[in-house]
Amino acid sequence: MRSKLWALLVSGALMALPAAAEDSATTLLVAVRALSFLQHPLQGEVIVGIVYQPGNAQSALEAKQLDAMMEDGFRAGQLVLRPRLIALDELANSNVGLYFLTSDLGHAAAALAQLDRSRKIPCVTTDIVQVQDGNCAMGVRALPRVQILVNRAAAAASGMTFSEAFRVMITEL
Amino acid sequence: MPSTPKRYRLLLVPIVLCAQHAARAQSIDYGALERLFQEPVTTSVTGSPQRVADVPANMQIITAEDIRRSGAYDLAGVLQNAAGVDFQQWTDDQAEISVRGYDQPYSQRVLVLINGRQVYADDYSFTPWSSLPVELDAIRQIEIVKGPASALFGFNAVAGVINIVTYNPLYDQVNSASVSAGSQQLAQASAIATLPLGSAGAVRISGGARSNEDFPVPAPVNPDLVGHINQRRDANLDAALRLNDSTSLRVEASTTHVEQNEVNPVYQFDFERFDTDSVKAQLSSDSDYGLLQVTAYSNRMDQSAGAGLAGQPLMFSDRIDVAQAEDVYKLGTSNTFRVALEYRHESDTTSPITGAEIFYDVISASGMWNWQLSPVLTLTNAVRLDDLALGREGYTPPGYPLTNQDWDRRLHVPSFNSGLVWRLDDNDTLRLLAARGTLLPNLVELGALLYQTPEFGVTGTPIQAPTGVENYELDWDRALPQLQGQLRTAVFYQVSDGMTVLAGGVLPGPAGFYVTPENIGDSSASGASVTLDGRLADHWRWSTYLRYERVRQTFSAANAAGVGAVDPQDETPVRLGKFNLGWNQGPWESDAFLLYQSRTSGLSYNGLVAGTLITVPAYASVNARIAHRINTHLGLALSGQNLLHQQQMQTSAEPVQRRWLATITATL
Repeated sequence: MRSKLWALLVSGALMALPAAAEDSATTLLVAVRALSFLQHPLQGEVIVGIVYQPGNAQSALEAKQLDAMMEDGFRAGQLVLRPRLIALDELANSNVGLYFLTSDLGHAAAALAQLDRSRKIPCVTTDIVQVQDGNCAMGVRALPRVQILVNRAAAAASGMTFSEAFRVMITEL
Repeated sequence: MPSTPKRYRLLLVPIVLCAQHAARAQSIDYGALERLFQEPVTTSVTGSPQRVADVPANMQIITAEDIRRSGAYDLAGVLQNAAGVDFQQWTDDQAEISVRGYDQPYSQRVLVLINGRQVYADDYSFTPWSSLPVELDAIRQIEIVKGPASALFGFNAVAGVINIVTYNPLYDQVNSASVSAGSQQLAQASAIATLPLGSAGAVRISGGARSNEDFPVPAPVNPDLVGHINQRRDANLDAALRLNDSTSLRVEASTTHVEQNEVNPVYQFDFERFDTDSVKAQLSSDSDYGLLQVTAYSNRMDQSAGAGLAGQPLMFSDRIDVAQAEDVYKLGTSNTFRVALEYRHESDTTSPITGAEIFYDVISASGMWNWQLSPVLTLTNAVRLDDLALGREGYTPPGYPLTNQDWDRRLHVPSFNSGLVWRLDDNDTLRLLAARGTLLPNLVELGALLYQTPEFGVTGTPIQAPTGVENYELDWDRALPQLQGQLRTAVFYQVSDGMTVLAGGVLPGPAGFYVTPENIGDSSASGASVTLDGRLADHWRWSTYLRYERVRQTFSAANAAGVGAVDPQDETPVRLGKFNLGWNQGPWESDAFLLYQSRTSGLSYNGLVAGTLITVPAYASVNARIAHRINTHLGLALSGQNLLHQQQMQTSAEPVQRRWLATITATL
């Protein structure tokens, strides 16, 4: 009962999804910065698997925007992110270091949860429902106020552990 | 996939420039957290890192940009513009700062720290602002907590806390130099250099010097007491060493020398000298057991007053040694705890009769529980218990009515802070706050002041009771995205029990009577404040702050008229207003600050103590700055203070004068 109440409140607090490209850019910025607080942060050249559903307009649009933003290689400190678009039904064949889960995938994203747990691959999304359902470990929202939600069980399963200074400042499930 | 328009790629520029690896931060990396959450971050409310919008306190942060654009050449000048801060300019270099009224010479009620190290002086319970060892360009932010914060910081954080946070050389490279010249024959120089030590860390060295004449001062009783040139020198070292991936050691050391005219706690004009030294070491680790921090520091301050007491110079040597250990950890998903232990030894020499020392040892335990009841509702409770053992050792003059054993006394003092923060929606936040803090009698009041003649004497005593301050407050903040700004409102009620004056009691002795400090009664303050700020068209920024406050006091008959030098009811302005308008474009910046204060009555020295009330008319004053950046390394600024009048009465002391200042700054 308590977890359901939390999920309801979290949904209310973090519901709005970024639609505009500007919002996506800011959200990407927040996500990358948040990942730098991993106890073992990603380093070097990392392939980002942008997981999307080809038949889903919202998901496809977001994937297109993210891919374009990182197409020349996105450098952040010692990290260089390179995008790879991955359709949901091609997940099993993907070989990436980070998943960025697009919005509006619904229950179809459960397949990703199985995959990143077995391969210990971090996952980030703007779709808070996927974090609540444990399909992705970290949800971010940049506007109007930065909010970060981490599903501790999903994070532990995918090998994501954060610094304590970061943990005390975010919302965890 | 088709490519994205170029304008979207431009959005990546700040991302690439700003995104930096934080790895597993050994200590709090304010810059990385601020870039992530896009708002300032603080540890000054609960001890745990928090976004400023989430803290269970009424808090304001002055950023490095605010400091630069203030045009001020010293800390007090920067704070003059801050919302909720009371500012009184007593002499050219003595400004007193308080929060929500109760300001006066040697203002006692705000605890001031630099990177968590106390720089508040316990001899008179005040902050000698000129002697604080910090250069303005080395400051990342100044954190102002309004209301008691004793549950985190202990004694004397009763009206608020001002924590000055400098850049951490481990994360921030600061290299700059500036020279200034201005009216009152002001000459000032400042330099800061950060030296990287490879992967091991970095060292920052900074220092400054200032010389200036005072405003016109009253005719001296003793020519040696006034007319000196005010001087200030400081040197600071800040070394941060990375011990491993999760642990760092930060060592800070400082020294300052200050000479300046002042109005002392009994409103007497005086020439004071301060020599301070400090050393601090802090070990921080972001571990599997939480954010562990062990800190030790030692402060030394010699303060001498030329006017002294009845012609005898006063010289107090204040010593503070502090050891602290704390752990901040998150249990489960919703509960953050802080547990801390602290030991403190404090001592001061007696003066003008020397040969004895007043001291106390304090052992403190504190705890904080931040309970996230839901993603929008957080309850924070913090408690602290201080166990103080007072003592005296050394010489007692013949006929003195007290023995050293009279100082063998213990105090057990609890403090608490509670705050409920309710984030109603993306824009609105409510805070309900309650707190109790304790103002400890200062070392002068506890016996460091010792003077004796055959007829009478003056002495502090061990029997002074602490002043308890309680604060109850309701705040409402509303973000105003359309204005790129914020509305902040507060309603508060504050009670001070057992206020103390330096000279109000009498102690009979075999050789005559002694004038002593005394607890004279209670005071309360109620008020409301509104802060509104915003930005316009990327080039303009503006802010306004309005406060209405009524202070009442119930003092003993002998002190009802402020004879004992404490009179907050008359000295606190009922209405206070601050306004700022700033503009910047390309290499140009300009700012103007207006301060309005309603009529007050201030005390004035009458030859023995402060006892004469003088009306200080309502006034408005304007400060302004215009600056031009010549290139990426060099900038020029011209600033002025009290621009509306050549001279103006702002306190019950001498009028303040108009001031001008030109500064050249080089940054690397």
